[in-house]
Amino acid sequence: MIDDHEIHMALRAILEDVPSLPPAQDRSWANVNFVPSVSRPHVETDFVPAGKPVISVQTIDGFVRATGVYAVRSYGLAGLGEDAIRARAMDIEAAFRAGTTITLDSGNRLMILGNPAPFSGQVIPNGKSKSVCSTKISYECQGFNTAP
Amino acid sequence: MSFADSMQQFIAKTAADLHAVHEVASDLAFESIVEGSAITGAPGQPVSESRSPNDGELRDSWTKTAVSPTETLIATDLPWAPDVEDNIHDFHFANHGPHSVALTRLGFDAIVDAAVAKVVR
Repeated sequence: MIDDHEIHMALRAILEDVPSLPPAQDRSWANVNFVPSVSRPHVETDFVPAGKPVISVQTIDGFVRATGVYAVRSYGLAGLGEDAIRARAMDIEAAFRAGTTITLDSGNRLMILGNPAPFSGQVIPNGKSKSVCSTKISYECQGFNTAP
Repeated sequence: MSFADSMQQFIAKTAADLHAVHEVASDLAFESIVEGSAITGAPGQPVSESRSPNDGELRDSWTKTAVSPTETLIATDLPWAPDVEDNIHDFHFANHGPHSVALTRLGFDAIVDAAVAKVVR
């Protein structure tokens, strides 16, 4: 089977290796209380599984393809230009280069998709002293529909 | 019937099927973004529960416009729509949710598969 949490943790591990990421106290993870600093950059993430259909004729023990989106929001201080915020977004994009493939502990194969490839949007103010650039990474994970 | 007639029939049917697949795929993509979809996993556009006249403003702002026989534009003109799509305020929505456009884009191959299956059925 494919464990979404395993995928999520693998994607987070890639993100945490980005050198320009803010320090640990300025990283917001899922289901953890977090109050962003008003004076320091921070990052937030959404892990959004899209489904995991069995794509083989055989269902039990068949082949499963899970897909989803990992959204990373890189916040910087508003009014100081785009350079720092966009530079961090580009570092994140580079870490999740399309085609990057990881074999998870379960043996399932996680791949960053090339269509749609990772992309970063416009830098927009959030109305709370910060501006933000969102990077969206589409992934797929392939594995077998076996009992855990 | 001559070979040329058969070819003309085939061409006409292919064109009609292409048009039908495009119509169905456009409808499914629009539904995925606005209402949510089991095909793509998109949650659809959040609707406030405040019972104010503005409830559903984002959902109702999305439009679908035929640009050419094989091109459809799905868009909104609300300036704050990207805030919701990217979830830049890190909300926990009571219904529906963010990233519907990204999930619809990711699941577009599945949308086309569903459209083809519906047209050839």
